[in-house]
Amino acid sequence: MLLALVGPSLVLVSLVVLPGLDADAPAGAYQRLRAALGSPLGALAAFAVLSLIFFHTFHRICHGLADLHVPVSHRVAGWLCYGMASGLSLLAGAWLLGL
Amino acid sequence: MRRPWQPRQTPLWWWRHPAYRRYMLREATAVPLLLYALCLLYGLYALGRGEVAFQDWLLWMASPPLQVLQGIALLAALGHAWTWFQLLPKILVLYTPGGQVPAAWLRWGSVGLAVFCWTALPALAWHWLAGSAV
Repeated sequence: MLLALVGPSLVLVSLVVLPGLDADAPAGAYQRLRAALGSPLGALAAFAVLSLIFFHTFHRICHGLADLHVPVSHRVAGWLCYGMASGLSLLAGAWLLGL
Repeated sequence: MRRPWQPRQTPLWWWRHPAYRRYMLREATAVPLLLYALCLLYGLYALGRGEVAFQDWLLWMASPPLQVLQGIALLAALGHAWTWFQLLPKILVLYTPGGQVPAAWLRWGSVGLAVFCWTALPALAWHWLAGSAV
């Protein structure tokens, strides 16, 4: 449900809002984004959104592999998919902490 | 002891019926969304590296191939959300003292909430990033 509400909004921001900024606005946008994502609440929100997308998409890919009868055991596919989702989420968390 | 019967299924079972094809198409929407999320992750990395790297990421995201990817990701996200709102009344059954909340109310209520989010969040982002007071 959350992804259904946030997903299209997020794509619209990067597809329409960011390219539509004035020529001098990206500099201000950088400062604002960095300040927002550097704050604990902003970092937590960004981490939640990114990890939600990673786990949601890898969960569906894991089941899609089983549906397509890809010759990989369900346990291995699960470890691969949820491991990738965990790793990418941790990477996002590390980069957010570094801001 | 006899082993349970396991029907054989070919890898292309989903091609046999339009409903199965729609199901697989819905599942396939995960791929462009994952690629889009990886682009965002790269943007986060660029944000940490400095302003020049962030400007480069903005230019990269505005390039035609990435615009196409974002367009496909948008269609995938919208399609997935639409099918989710069709499923919602079957999963979420709400009761009031007067009886069960009609499925159409749940369906169209969630669609209304989604349309509000899809317009309000980008509009807020626009005002905030462009420097206007919200």
